[in-house]
Amino acid sequence: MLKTKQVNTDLVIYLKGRLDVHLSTEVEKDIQEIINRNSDASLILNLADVEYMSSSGLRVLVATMRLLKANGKALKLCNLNQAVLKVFEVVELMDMFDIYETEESALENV
Amino acid sequence: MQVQNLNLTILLYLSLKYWSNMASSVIRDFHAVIAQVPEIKLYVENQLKILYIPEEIIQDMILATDEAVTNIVMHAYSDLSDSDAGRILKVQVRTRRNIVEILLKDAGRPFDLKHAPAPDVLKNLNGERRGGFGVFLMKTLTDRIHYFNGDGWNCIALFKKCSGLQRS
Repeated sequence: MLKTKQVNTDLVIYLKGRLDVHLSTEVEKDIQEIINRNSDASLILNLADVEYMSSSGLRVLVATMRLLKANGKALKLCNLNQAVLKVFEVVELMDMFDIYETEESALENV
Repeated sequence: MQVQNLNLTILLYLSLKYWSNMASSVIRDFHAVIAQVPEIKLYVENQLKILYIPEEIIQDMILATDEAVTNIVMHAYSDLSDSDAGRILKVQVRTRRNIVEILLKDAGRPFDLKHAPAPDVLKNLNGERRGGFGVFLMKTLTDRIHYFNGDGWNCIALFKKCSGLQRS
């Protein structure tokens, strides 16, 4: 199960590991369960411990955004390393997500 | 006669030059299931390191390989159960002159990447589509992708230019 932290009305989820096809299905399921249990919260996904991400991981993030938008809630990402940022840049998704350098700055801009 | 000898000498020289610039890993067989994807990536990474490929190119090739292997595991063999011995994936890493090449061979359903639709994130957000970024990543991170199908095998070759390659 993913580690989470409640900050006022927002929920920070800490993702971990290599977000490839092997791990993504499990992570997607966990995030969906968290969203279902916290339907009033906007989400911040902290990717500090995500060392690698393929399109399978990207698909999870897009699916999470879709789920939150349907609930009228926001999704923010923070602490992306260079390898993960590169994936966003290559598929030209930087503008689709609110991406912050740190968790603090993501929380400040809620 | 002299012309023939000269031709032979040139041919021999060119052959030696060609092969001396080529280095290959062994062809390794994997069971093409999701659980094996991390191991396949690790194999490719280790082979690229043995061949002294720069780290930035290694990272691009691992991600391109990951996307290609994910397609094979998820789509080419989607009609076979995970335990089916027919889920074969052959992997080889090669360098030739200034080109790094990763060869993936499977016996699943043929799929030419040329026919993959372009990514459309709005369709993803509307729920009309899941994924669609993998092939785009593969194409962007490599310099060329070659696909061919024959004798029941699909072969995908991922190519990337890499200056200053050394022999292992």
